Amino acid sequence: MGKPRLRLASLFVLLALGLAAIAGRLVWVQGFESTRYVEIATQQRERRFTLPPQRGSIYDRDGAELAISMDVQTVFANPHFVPDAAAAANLLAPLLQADPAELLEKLERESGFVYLARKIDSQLAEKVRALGIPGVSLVAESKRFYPAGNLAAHLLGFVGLDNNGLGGIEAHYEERLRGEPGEVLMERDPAGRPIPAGTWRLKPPTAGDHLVLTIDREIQFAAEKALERTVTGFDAVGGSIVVLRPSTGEVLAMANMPTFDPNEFGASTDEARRNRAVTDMYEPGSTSKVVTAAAAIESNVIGPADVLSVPDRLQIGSKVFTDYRPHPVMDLTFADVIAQSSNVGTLKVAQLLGKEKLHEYLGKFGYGRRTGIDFPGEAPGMLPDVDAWWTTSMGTIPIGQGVAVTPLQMTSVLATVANRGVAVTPRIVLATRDARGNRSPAAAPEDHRVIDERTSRRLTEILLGVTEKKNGTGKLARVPGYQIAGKTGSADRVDPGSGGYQGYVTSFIGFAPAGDPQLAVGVVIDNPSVHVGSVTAAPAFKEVMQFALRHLGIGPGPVLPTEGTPLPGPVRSGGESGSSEISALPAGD
Amino acid sequence: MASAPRRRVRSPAPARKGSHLRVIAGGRARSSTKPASRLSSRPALRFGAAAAIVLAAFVFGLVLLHVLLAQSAFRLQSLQDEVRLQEARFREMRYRVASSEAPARIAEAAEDIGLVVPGEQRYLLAPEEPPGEE
Repeated sequence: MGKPRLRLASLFVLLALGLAAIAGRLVWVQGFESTRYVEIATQQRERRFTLPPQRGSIYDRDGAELAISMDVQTVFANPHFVPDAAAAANLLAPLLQADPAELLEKLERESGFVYLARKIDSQLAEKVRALGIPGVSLVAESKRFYPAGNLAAHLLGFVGLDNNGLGGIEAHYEERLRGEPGEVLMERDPAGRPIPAGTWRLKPPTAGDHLVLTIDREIQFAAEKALERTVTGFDAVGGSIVVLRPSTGEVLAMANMPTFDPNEFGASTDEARRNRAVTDMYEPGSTSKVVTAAAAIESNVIGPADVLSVPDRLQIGSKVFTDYRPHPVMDLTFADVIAQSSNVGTLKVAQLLGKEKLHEYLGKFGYGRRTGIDFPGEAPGMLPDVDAWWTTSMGTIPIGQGVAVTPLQMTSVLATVANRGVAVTPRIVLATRDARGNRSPAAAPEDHRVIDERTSRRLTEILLGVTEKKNGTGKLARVPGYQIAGKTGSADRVDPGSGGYQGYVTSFIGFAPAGDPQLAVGVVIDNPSVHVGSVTAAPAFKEVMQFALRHLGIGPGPVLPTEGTPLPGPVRSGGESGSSEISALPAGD
Repeated sequence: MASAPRRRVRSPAPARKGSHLRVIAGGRARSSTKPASRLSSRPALRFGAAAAIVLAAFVFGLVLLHVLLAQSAFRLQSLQDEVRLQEARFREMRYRVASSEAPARIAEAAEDIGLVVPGEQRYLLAPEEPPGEE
């Protein structure tokens, strides 16, 4: 009687204990630990993906695409899910143009993820997808393309593997171009497929703004071709060409040599990727005489038609400064001094002007100060403080040695003269456009008056003589049908390696039409085999200016008289046969 | 041989006082009660069957709805993939157009067919006043 009851009682106790344990565990799991388990379960089901934004495109001023982002496909595999690695490798190898053994090695790795090919085009991706190999998948990645190759490469810059701007406009406008990444939260089944009725929270990415540049693709191409021909033809180290609209500061073209292809920027050198027009300084030489002349005219030190007695050498301090070629003492108008690029004549005017005034005007024209262009890494140039000038500085600085500028700065100087004495900050971005197509013009550039309008006009007439007068140094810059005002330049070149002078930098910077200036073009050639800008840079200037005038439909404009009366020859002979010889010689700078 | 245990036979219990049971004449009364109970359980059966059918239909409908929802979601996913693919193709075509329009490519193509750079532009000055009609 007692035993069955004991057994029953024991069983009951056991069952009760078991149930109590289960109930206790239930309370523990569902009550105290519920949050943790909910989190674990959520982590197993939910996946959070970052949605990269579409990087904004870059257009030229006419809407031609210069930089564009495209989705390309990346092929990857989970080797654990590839049933026959050898067969898969043999199928994929011809499509991906890869070594089958290399693919096989990847597909046999003890890993859950291997890249098989990155950023392939969509047609190829479709072929890979069509193979339907288990464990092999595709994922979209964005890649930056530059459809015009190396056109405006230095301006555009380039992006890195993560699509972040690393140079040029791409870097400077990174925040505008990049956009904001989005995010999607979804529930997935064990096979990785989205659960249709599961959680789905989407924060869409915001596409980056598009940039519309001031660059004109056609003029840019013409500038690059002219520069390439010049640099190659004169065996130069490099060079730059800048085309500006003086009235707005818009950069229509900015070409540099050597160049690179931003689609494959990794294959280029730092040297080739540098935007020399903005980052490299050089001593401008005779083109800087424009500033000396402007200061002298505006300070009423001398007028364009005033006559100077000009020997071929002049001692300042301990040094003797000479003209490019020896000549007897000549009487030259100030206009002729500039047209013939006489160093001695310019130095004599500078002595009348004084170093303080000259320093003031060099500063006014922007020497030693960044132009403020919307481009990274701009060099400020170099203008020594007037207190630090040596005695001999009055023999070098008035003729553009001992100071340093960038090609952009020097082109801006001439653009200021062209713009009736008002300097306008150069700019590269004309407008931005958001993803919805709303266009916002860039802020109007800053401007300030440097010289008065009358000085600017008189200076223009003087600079016209550089290309139009018989002894002018810039005759090769003439564009038939147009009046061209400009100045040649040739200066000792500072060797970046040694820091000393080695070779020359030649240049021609000018504007047209002289009567109603619409364009300013600067050409700077680094260490060409011929050491004068009249021979190296002036023809390139002509080529670019002629193309740009025609392309933009700019007519010849009103005709200006050339300033100053050209004299028939040397009035005072220095014992040499003089004038005819000087006229016959190729002009110096 | 052991004799089988004798079972105690209960004598029928005397009819209790106040019992509701009563004897009905004839044997029909027993048989006549059966059809009556069948008749009374039919509505319950019908109700049960109907409820089962409705429940089954409801469950089936629910499953069907879920399947349709799932199909729609997969279809939506497929369409979204297609949209992405077409957008990618569109961008690729834009890239091809831009590449084809690049000045360097056009210049090369022009040279290939024998085109040359135009000569220098000439300007003719028009007379200041148009000639009279007389």
